[in-house]
Amino acid sequence: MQVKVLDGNDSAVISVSGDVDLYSSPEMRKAITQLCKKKVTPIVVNLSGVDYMDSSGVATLVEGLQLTGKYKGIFRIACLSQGVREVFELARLDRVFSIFDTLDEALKT
Amino acid sequence: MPQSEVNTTIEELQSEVQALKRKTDFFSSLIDVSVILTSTFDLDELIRRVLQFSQRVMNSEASNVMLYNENTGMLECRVALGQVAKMLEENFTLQLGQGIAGWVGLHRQGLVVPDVSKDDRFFSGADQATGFVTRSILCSPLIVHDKLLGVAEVVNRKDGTSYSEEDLRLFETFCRGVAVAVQNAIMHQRLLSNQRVQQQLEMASAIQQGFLPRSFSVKEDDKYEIAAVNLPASLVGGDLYDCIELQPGLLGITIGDVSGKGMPAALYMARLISDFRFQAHQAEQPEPTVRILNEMLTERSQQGMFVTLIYLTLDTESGVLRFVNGGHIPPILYRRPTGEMLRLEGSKGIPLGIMNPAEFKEASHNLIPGDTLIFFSDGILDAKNRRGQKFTVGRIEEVIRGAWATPGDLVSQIVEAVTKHAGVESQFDDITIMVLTWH
Repeated sequence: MQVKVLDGNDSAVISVSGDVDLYSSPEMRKAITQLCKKKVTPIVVNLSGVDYMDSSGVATLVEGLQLTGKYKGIFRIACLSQGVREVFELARLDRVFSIFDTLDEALKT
Repeated sequence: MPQSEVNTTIEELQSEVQALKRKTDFFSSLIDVSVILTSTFDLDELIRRVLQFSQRVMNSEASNVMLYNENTGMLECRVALGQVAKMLEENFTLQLGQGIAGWVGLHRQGLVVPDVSKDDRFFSGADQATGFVTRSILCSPLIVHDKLLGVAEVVNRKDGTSYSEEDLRLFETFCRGVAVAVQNAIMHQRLLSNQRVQQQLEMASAIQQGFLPRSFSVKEDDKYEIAAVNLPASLVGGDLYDCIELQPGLLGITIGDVSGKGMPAALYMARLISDFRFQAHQAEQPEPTVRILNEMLTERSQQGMFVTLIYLTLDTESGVLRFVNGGHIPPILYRRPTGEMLRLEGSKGIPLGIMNPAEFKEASHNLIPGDTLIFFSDGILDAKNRRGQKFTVGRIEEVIRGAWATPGDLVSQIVEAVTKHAGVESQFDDITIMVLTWH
């Protein structure tokens, strides 16, 4: 799994690629928590390169949502593959997260 | 032959005899040290025996082995022999590059220092702290597969002479064997430590299985039967199920799947099942219980962990089910007399522990004779075969349509089908199956 962070002045994009599971999700968590410590908003997680995500990966995104919520920040996820979208829909997490089809849409206020 | 030539020949022969004796001693020492190296897996005892031997062969006053700590970048005295051994073992450390031992560790090459007072690399701090007087040092690195494990040194020849290059060669040869033995001893220690962790996990596994009901007290004239199984991917897991009597004629039944797996999920599950039993008794209906559990889990949320969970109450006289689904896979409802295969959808809410407040809507269903409910966690759908194909809901339905007599039979048959599907592939996620039949 690879995690790239583009930290702009007033927003950040975390681009993740590869499988996100129990063993790889800590790397994504590190990127998210670092941005949350700086109270960056909005934070957009670009999942276009992720075909598989288990519940550990979902929990990491839930943590991002909870952390940004504490400073009234915005946390969005974008570009979900069919497999990842199914994981979110199966658990009704599509009601929890702001999910966008493209990165551009996610970055628009 | 003139007498002078005879004398020369005798001297040459004596010299050759001496050289042969040294070689014999050299190989004899190597044999002796190889015996020591295989004598124990106890790291400290092994080093102590090697140092005792080295000190004797090198006719030295003191010796020590310092091990390299990768985390701190320091050489730490592990075992020392001689007058001030205890003081050195207690707190003597050197940075890599500091002192003779540090130099040897950094440059990874052995060194003879005939007179430390004439060598700028010598670090006098240890002598100042202990009162020992170091005169000469023979020092060698301990290296295995290009990895620095530490350094070994012997100090001060008792006869006052200096160590020779031949001594260094012999000591370095010792140390190559010592390094392998030290590495083996470290691996052995890790193995023992892993075994202890494994034992603790096995105990934790037994304790966790004890949280889950093994059997369900069903009387002969009861209209329902219930069976369940929980198979963690490792020794412990984050799936749970429970069935409790809330009051005569009313059961509380739940199945849940905590995010992640292994020990963190198991700890989350352990506290949740305890909270569930307490909260379920506080209210007769599922919605308040789930709402309060969600509130508690969100309040103490750690690293975004959450649980998908179904909670239902069953009136054991009328067959009326009331249920709330928090993000869990809806159970299959099989109407055996007609062969209908349905899903108990209800109104699915979000998983518990993510946000509060959250809406959980209660739904109800009337069981009719022949109804069978099959609950499961998504681990069953993650079971892959050698070709990477997952076990599907369709496969579960095939088993349900087959021949089985009791809920226990059906649970066993589903487990058998999943196990057969996975073959030699290891179980990837926790698997829980619960079956409820209504007569």
